[in-house]
Parts: sequence; C-alpha cells; structure tokens
Amino acid sequence: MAKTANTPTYSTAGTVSAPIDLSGLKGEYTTLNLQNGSKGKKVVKPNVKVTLTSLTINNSGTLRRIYSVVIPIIYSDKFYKEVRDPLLDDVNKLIYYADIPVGAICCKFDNLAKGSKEPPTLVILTLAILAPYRSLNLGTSLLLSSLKASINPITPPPPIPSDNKTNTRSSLTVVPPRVKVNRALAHVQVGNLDAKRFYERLGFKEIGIEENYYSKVEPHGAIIMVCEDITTAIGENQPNGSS
Amino acid sequence: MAHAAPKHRQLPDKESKLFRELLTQYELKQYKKGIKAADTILKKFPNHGETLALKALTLHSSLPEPLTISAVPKKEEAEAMARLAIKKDITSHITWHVLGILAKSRKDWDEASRAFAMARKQDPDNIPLIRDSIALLTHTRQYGPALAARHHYLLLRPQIRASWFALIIAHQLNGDLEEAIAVYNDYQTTLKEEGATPPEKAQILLHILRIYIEAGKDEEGLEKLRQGVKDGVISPRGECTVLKAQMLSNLGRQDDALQTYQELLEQNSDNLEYYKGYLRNKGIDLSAELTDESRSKILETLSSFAEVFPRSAAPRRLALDFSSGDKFRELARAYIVKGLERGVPSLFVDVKGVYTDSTKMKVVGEIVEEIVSKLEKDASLSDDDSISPPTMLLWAYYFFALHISYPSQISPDYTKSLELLDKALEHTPTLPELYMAKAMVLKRSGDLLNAAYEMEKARLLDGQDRFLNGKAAKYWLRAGEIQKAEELLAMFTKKDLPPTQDLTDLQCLWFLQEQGDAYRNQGNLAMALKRYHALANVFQDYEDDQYDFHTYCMRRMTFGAYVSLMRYEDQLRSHPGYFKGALAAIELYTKVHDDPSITEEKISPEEEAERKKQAKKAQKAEAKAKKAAATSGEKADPPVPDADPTGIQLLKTETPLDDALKLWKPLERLAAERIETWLTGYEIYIRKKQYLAALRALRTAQSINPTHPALQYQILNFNKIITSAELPEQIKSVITSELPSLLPSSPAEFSQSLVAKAKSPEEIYYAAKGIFEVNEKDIGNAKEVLTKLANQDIIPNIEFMFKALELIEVKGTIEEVDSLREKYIIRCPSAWVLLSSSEKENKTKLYKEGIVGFQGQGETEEKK
Repeated sequence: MAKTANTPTYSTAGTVSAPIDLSGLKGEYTTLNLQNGSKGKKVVKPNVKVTLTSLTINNSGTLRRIYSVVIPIIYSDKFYKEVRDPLLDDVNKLIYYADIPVGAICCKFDNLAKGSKEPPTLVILTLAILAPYRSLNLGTSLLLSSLKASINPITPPPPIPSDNKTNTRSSLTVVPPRVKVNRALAHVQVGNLDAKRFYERLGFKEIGIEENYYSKVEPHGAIIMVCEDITTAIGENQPNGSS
Repeated sequence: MAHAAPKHRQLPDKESKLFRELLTQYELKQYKKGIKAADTILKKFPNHGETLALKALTLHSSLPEPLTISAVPKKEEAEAMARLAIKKDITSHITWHVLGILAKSRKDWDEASRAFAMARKQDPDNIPLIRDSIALLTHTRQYGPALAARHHYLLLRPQIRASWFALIIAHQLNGDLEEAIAVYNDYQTTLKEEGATPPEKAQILLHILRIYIEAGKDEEGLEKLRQGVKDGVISPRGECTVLKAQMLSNLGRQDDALQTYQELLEQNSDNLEYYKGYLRNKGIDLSAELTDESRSKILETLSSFAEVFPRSAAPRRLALDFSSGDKFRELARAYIVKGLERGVPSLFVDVKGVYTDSTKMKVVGEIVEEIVSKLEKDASLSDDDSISPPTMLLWAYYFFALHISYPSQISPDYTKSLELLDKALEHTPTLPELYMAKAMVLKRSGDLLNAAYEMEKARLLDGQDRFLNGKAAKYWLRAGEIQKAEELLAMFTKKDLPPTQDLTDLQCLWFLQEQGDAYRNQGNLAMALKRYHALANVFQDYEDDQYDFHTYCMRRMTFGAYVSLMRYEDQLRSHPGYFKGALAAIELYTKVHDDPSITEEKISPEEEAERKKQAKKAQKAEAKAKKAAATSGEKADPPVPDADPTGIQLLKTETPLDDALKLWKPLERLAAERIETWLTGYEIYIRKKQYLAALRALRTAQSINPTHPALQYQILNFNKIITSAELPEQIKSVITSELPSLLPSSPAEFSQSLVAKAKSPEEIYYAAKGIFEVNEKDIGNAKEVLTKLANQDIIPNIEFMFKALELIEVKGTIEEVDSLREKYIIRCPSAWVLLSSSEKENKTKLYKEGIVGFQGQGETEEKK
C-alpha cells in the first residue's frame, strides 16, 4: 500500500482515478502466492497505465459486455441500474488497463440501518476480469480499492438541482456520509477454487455454504466468504510511516 | 457645405430638423420613432428621396432576425422603397448608400459594391462610405479599385496607423509587393513615436517578412529580421525561426539554414516539414528519385535525430518512407513493435502511408503476421523473463485485420480479416475499435446492414462518445435506415430542433452528403437534391462569412492570417466535400433532364396512406401549438418556414442543366486537374447541345488521363450524337478536324478494342456502355461483357455490378437482369444491394437477434 495510501483522496464521481501502481501490490503479496503454490508472476514490460472509473449510464454498455462474457449469469436491467447508485460510487468501479476496460466490481451495502442484528457489511456482488488480463493483479487492486473505500466513507457529492421538476428542500439536502463498513462478504460458487483462494489471500474466511444460491447454473451452492475486519486485512491500521 | 443642395432636396426648417432627428433615431435604434418622423416629412414632401431612403433603411433594420412570416411583406416594402428613393433623388449619396446597405444585408455583394461606388461618386470624402466600400471591393476581388480607395482613405486619415498598414495589405493583394514594402519602409522612417502595442508590432513585422520572401528579397528580409530580433520587436523563437530558415534556404546558405532547422527541431521535434527542410539543405532533392547514396545519407541523419529526440516518432516514421529492402524491414518492425506495445490505435493509419509501394505493403504484412504468431505462442517478443502487455496481441490482431482487408491489396481477404477480429473480440470484447474495424471490413465486402449492426455494437459500449455515435449513424444511412440514423444523431443535437436542421446549421458536411446519398439510393431524388444543395450552400456561407474579416483583421492587425484566409477563400470550392456533393447533384440533374418523369413520385397506396396520416398529425400538432401560443398571450409570429421542405421544387426545375452548370462552374476553375470535373462537364454540355464546350471537356479529360474508361465511353457517345445532330458548318469543321485525335478508328472497332482491353471493373462497365453507343440493340453482347464483372480473376466491385444491373434494366428485360444478378451474387455473396427484398428481410432478422444477445439481455437471474 506504499504509494496509493499517500495519494490524496477526492471524489471520483464521473471521473477517472489517478493511475494505480500495480508493482506496489506485488511485493506485498508474492509470499502468499508462493505459499499457494502458484508460479511467480512475470514482469510486464513496458509498464502499463491502469485506472479506475465510476459507473455511469454511458459506460453501462461496457459493463454489460464484460459481465456477459465473464459471468455465466444474465443480470437484469434493474441490477445495472442499482449499481449506478451515487451512494455506491466509491465502491463500484470499472478498471481500465492501457485505456481499455477489462474488468469491474459491483457491490452493495447490507445492514446499514441502526439496530440490525449483523454488523454493516459490504457485499461483493460481482467481480470480473477478462480472461487475458488475469494474473496481473487487476482483480486484487479492484477489490482493494472497494475495501478501502468501504472503511473510508466520503461525503457524497451534493445533489444536482433538477431542470424540469420543482426542487424541494429535501431533494437538495446533502446526504450524510454512510457509516464506516468494516466487514465484507462474498459468494463463491462451490468448486471454484481459484476464486476461493483469491479471497483468502485478502483475509476472507469461509463461514459456511448456502445451498441453492444459484438457481440457473450448476452447481447451485455457494461458499460464503467473509472478512470480519477489513482494516486489519488490508493493513490500514498500521501507524503512519510504518509501511 | 460649399455649395447649396439642389432644390428638390432642400427642406423647410421644421422638416429639416425632423430629418436630423430621424438620423439620430436610426443610430440609436429607435426605429418606431424614426418611421413616424419619416412619415411626417413624407406627408408634406412625398417626393423627398433621402427621407424615403432613410425610412426604407429604418424599416428594414426594425425587422426581426431570423425573418418571421409577418415581416416578409415589410422587407419587400423596404426594398421597393429604397429603389424608389433612387428614382426620386439620383444624385444623393444617402439614397445610394441605403440601397447598398440593403443589398449587403441580402449578401448580394456585386450590387452592393456598385451602389457604394455610386454613393462615393456623390460624396467622395465620406469616411464610413469609403470603409464599407473597401470591404465590398476586396470581397468581390476588385483589388485595383480597392487599392485606390485605400489610398484615398489614407490621404483623408494619415494620422491613423491602421490606414497605413491597410494600404500595405491592399498593395500585396493587388500583387505589387515592391510597393507594399516601400510603403512600410517609408512609414517607418517618417515615424517618431510608434504607438502600436508590442504584439501588434510583431504581427506587422512578421507579415512584412513574409512579403519579403514572396517578393524574393530574402537578403533584405534577413537583415530586417535580424534588426527586428535585435530591437526586441519579434521573439527569435517560433514563426520567426521558420521564416529565417526559409530565407536562408532560398539564399542557398546551407550551413546557416541547417543550423536554423536544427534550432527548429529542438523547438518541435515532431514537425515533418522541419526534417524535410533540414534534409533539403543537406543537398538532397527529396522530390526526385533517390540514389542509394542519398538514401543512406538520409537514414543516417534521421537515425541520429531519433537518438537525440527519443520521444519523437517523426524521424522514425520518416525513415520508413526513405528506406528500402532489409533496412526497411528492420526499421518498420521496430516502429510497429513500439506502436503495438504502447497500444497506439492509429498505428495502421499511420503506417499505411507506405502502402503506395506494394513491396513495402507486403513486408509490413509479413512483419505483423510474425508478431501475431509469436505473441500467440510466447506472450512475449523479448527473450528475457518479462511478458508483453496482453493488449499488445490485441492491437496486433487489429493491425493485421486492417492490413489484409485494405483496398489496395490485390485480393483483400475479408473472411480472414473477420476471423482475426473475432479472435480479438474473444480476447477483449470491450474495445470499440474492434467493432468499428469489423464494421469497416463488412462494409467493404458489401454487407452494409451487418456493418451497421457492428457499428451499433461499438456505439453501445460508450454512449457518450459522439464519434461512435456519428459513425453508427453514418453506417445506418448507408444501410438505408434514415429514420434510425436520425434518432441516434438526435442524442447529441439540440433538443428543440430536428436533428437534420441542427446538423445543417452546424455545417456538418459528411451528414449532408451521406443523407443525400441515402435518399438517392431510396429513390427519393427530391430530398437527395435538397441535401446536396444544403451542402453547396454551406460553402456559400463560408464565402459570405469572409466579409466581416475585411474590417476585423485590419483592426486586429492579424495580417498573416488575413492574407492566408483570402487565399483559402479563393480556392474554397476545390474542397473535396463540395466536389463530391456537387458531382452527385449534377448527376441527378442530368438524370432529370434525360427523363423528367422521375420527378413524379411513385408511391404505393400504403405509403400514400402513411403520408396522409403524418400530415394529419402535423396539422394537429400545429393547431395545438397555435392554441398554446394564443393562451399564453404571445402573438404567434413564427419564423418563415422552409418554402420547400421536401425538395420537390428543386427537383421539378424547368432548367435542370442550368442548375447543374451553376454547381459545376466553380469546379472548372478550382478542380481543373481532376478528370471527374471534365467528365461531368461533358455530360452537361452535350445535353445542352453545346458541342464545342463538350469537345473541350473531352480534350481536357484526355490530356489528364487518355485511358480513363469513362472517357472512352464518352468519346463514342459524342461521336454518335454529332453524326445525328444538325450543326452549323463552322462548328462541324472544327469537330471533324478534332475528332480523329479522340477517336482514332471507326466506332465499332474502337468499341471492340475497349471490350478486348477491359480488365478492371470500371473498364468492363464502360466498355459495355460503349457497345450501346455503337449499336443500341446489342444487348447480348453487352451482357456478355458485363458478366465478366463476376469473373474470379477480376477484383469484385459491387458499385459497378449495381450500375451494370441498372444499365441492363434500362435496355433489356427483367429476365436478363435476374440472370446477371445471380452471377454477381455468387461472386459477392454478402453484397447488400444485390439481394432481393425477402433475403434482406431474413438477414435483418438475423442481425437483430445478434444485437440482443450482445448486450447480455434475455432471461435474467435475480440474486436472492
């Protein structure tokens, strides 16, 4: 997290993020890679620019294309509309590799309401990277960016006054920032060992299996992976300057 | 005033006071009061010309812009009144001035400049009059009188700096460079204190230096430049260095010139002109055939530059033009690998410049094929442990697909190209360029609708990309889906205007051309003609817009830009956009002349019913709008509607050939070096029965390209027409003396030799057309020739296949057309225009299903 942690944070609504340094991720996780027995990753030459962008109505076509190619599930229009919710802007991102969109992450927040039994949770709905671009740390950096955004809530941008409807006071009030969410959850299809390992590397643990999670694809079961403490998992609780 | 005004112009005190008030009211834009005052005077003195003129002017100025319906008669009234005023008082400068102003607002520059000249005759020292007059004279390119007026102006206002500079420019435009320089130098010497601001001074000096270069006085120019830099008038960087380098090379001072070009390259290492200038001063003639020695000298120079400027692509790219053989292979590979690594989308467009040399094209193909196979195997080009970015293979696929489908290939391989692109799409389905390339390849193979669907896919990936939106619209237009295209374009045009209107206002040339073509292909000739005319009008607007700059540039002292604008406007209509549109419109006009019945629309009853429905709808909407306007209390006074919304009046012209000639005339002067100009000119003149002009067109075309296939056909056509025409003796003798140089043998033999020689699709088509010129009835022979278009050893050309079918349709029977069509379809199975309507429907359905799957739509699964 050496470099990215020090860059100033600002709203990226509708804009492109600052380039992400993938080599920074590398040093931290090579040991884990070796433990899991996968062979060492090769260096990409020349270095490639990687950026994140927000989901908008205009790049929705690209998002659909990525998911329809990578994930065997067909998502509804409602799904694509909900992930564009401004409150999810900091966790839902497209990733661009050399200015080409190659992957995306979509999440939602559960149990945000006060008094819910379980702690507030970031539920990772979909995370997809096109096949030729895997093993380049893109998925890791995408997931990390969402996890980091989840524990560092930002003030949402003020609502834009509508041109054709009357603007009421409530429609113009700035929404208060959401609470800090320190727990993350993901579903992995039973038998998908690569995905399971991927989450484990980032501090997720298996807590059980939900049968019949998928209705149209085989097998129907899903492993529930949970990361109880994001802050520790991604090393954000270290004192300043220690990294 | 030195002498009293003539009697009919004098007014009693009271009216004369009113008249003066009228003048101020006009200037203060109190038009209503002005008209009232004028009416009061006119009540007593209805024949007072100057008052009439001023009333006309005031009335004219009070009209809204753009003109509304109620304002049209008022405008006509004002025009008539201005003309009446001249009759009442022909020696007044006011009446002529007003006439000039009204003509100017109509953009009738010739009449305006005449009226201003008359006004100046009555009142030679009137400053505003002279100023307007100069602008008009310059605009109508009467440089001599403009110069005289400038001179006169300077004598009246010698203390104003701008009048001196304007005189310099007037001399330059009039072609007298020596005098322009002399005026500048004299002005400088008489000057004690220069009041111009530093940027103005720099602008002027730079322009004077350009005049020096133009006049061939480089030695003096150089001295002026040195002095200017020393005095701090001009900065030694930028434009000044360019001029210096130019002057030094003109003088042949190679060493100094080399050094200056070196300086320029340090300022901007990506300018190809600087490299070329550098090489020229190394004593290498770039325009001539290169020797091996000069080749290696060039490459050596360029490679040393490539080392000095590692980030600059220009020296590397330039080296590809000048190298050959193994050296080219080595350089090209390095250049392409670098481009692919960095993922430069335009790499192919950049490199295809060398394809004029077919061996180089082959080498590039081999290089890319090798890169693709190596990347597929090793994922890397280097020998060490690193891998190339995955995008590199993607761009390599893209490059290779574009390469093998490029039209200058002897046999472009569309199938393989599409396979490659599909492979690339499997790799990365989110890159719009791949869909665009696929659309382009499909378009070249003739499958216009499928191409449009592919372009649509690219557009769906990024909804805010206007380029993709425009491209998709263009492909829909080509596929004949005008409605669909307009819907797409409307996403980016103004919301309160129809997209067509907004794009016309924006002077969007490609849209006007493509929509015109789309209408033409659908048989809606009226709308097609309307779009082509809109295109031609855009160029008229360009020309008219120039008017304001005659005064503006003098005031801002941007002389360099002004003179280059004037030169640009002089050759404005040689623009390829005008050329294409004008040629298409002329072709329609000649068709109308040949068969006026095509101006009558043939519509089926269903279409008729549909139209009636539309009209009713429009009527209802209008009534509603009127009602809404009435309730809101505003007076309904909409702008004047388009008098000819369907273009039918354009099409139903009485004089199609004269209309065509109007469009053609600028081409004769400005695109004289293009053979199409003269081929089209022939088609107009032969129909106008102006045989000598037609002959001249043929002769000029012959001098450009004696073997052009269309020309051969026209020669046969000309021969046939003049043998049956009745000609005056003089004309006949000219033609008979000239004809043998065009038609060396008898028509039948000539036609036969054409058939025997025909190898390219164009030659085959025109050879067949020529057969009909010899023997109207010889369908069998012509059809046999046209069958050759489907031969395996002839490059398939869908455009000419389609034309061939049209030709046989006119001369022969339906069965003959169908048998020919079958043969063509075997050769070009995906050619859209050759398909029958039921096949088109089937394909449409297929593609529609394809695009539904593309977006991942269909049965959805909700997560719990």
